[in-house]
Parts: sequence; C-alpha cells; structure tokens
Amino acid sequence: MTNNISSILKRVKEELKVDLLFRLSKKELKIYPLEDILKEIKKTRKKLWNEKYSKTI
Amino acid sequence: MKNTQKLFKVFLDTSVLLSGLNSPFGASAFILALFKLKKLIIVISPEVILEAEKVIETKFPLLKIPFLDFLSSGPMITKKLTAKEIKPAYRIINSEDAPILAGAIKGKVDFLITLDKKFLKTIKPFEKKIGFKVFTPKEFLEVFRRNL
Repeated sequence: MTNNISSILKRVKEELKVDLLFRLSKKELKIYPLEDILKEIKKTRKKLWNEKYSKTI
Repeated sequence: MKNTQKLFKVFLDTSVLLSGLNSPFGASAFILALFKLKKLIIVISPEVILEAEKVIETKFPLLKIPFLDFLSSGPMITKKLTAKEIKPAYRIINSEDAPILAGAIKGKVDFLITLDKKFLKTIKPFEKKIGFKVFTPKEFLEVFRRNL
C-alpha cells in the first residue's frame, strides 16, 4: 500500500515537472533573434556542403 | 510516461538545438529539458556539432557555454557519415541538407525535429521510406504529450 502511494506520488511529481515546463514554454526570453540563427545555419550548411561534400556526392 | 515505455529517439537539426540553447522557454528548449529529465533520447551527428560550432564561433558566442553543457549531458552522437551514407539522403533531398537527413537515418531515430520549413516540407513525403516522422518542435511536443 505504502509502496503503491509512493509510486503514485513519484509519478505525479514527474508529470507536474513536465506540465510546468509546458507552461514555461509559452514564454519568450531569447538571447539572439531566432531568424538570425536560422539564417546563419543555412549559410554555414551551404559552405560546409561546398567544402566537404559536393565533390564526393 | 510510464517507466517501462520505450523512450523516443529524437534527432535534432542544428536549428532546433541552437534555438533551444538560445531561448529557455520555447518548444525547442522544452525538448532539451525533457532530455535532461531523461524523458527522451536526443541523437545528433558530428555534422550537427560541426555546424553548431561554426555558427556559434562566427556570430553567437553567448551560446558557447550552453552548447558545451548540452554536449556534456550525454546526447547520443552518431559516427561520422561516409559519402556512401550521404548519397541516398541526397537522392531524396537533393540539397546541402542531405548530411543532416543522413545523420538521422544513421541514428535510427523515431523523429527528426527541425525549424527549417523548407527542409521539413521536402522530406515530409518520404517519411515512410526513411522510417521516421519529421516535425517542428511544437508538433513533436503535441505527439509527446499525447503519449504521456
């Protein structure tokens, strides 16, 4: 019985953690604008492709 | 999620990884938090690491420490891709995104998560062929929540 309650409490605690994260995920707090990051990734990916893969693929 | 349930294996595109490190409260950050809570397995490839390193080095130095912290938290890292492994991915996507897709195929994942809409739209019709679903972070979280 005690084990059962403790495992339920453990499960509830874990789900509360996940729920809290879901709530927090709706807020915004960024270091850099996301668009700038995505743009830079595209640029870097293209550059790496040209340098490393384009000739062998 | 029940402890006995199999954990989702999720490949992160560089866009999701850096977005998650950049903003603690977005959907991408939530995926990283689930990983830290051991609710899912994150898979990346050496190509994602290299790309992230270069991008951080060039323009976003404040992401360096969060990136190193993420690496030290034990994501699964695939072995380096060979040209032979990139070729089939290139036949599907025909662009510089091929090494990322090839990394996800090599990692035998359940999901590939990306913020690049063009990348997502291109590979979405091939989900059956590649053997995993392709989602945005937000879409993935909906699936994750339904499976809790």
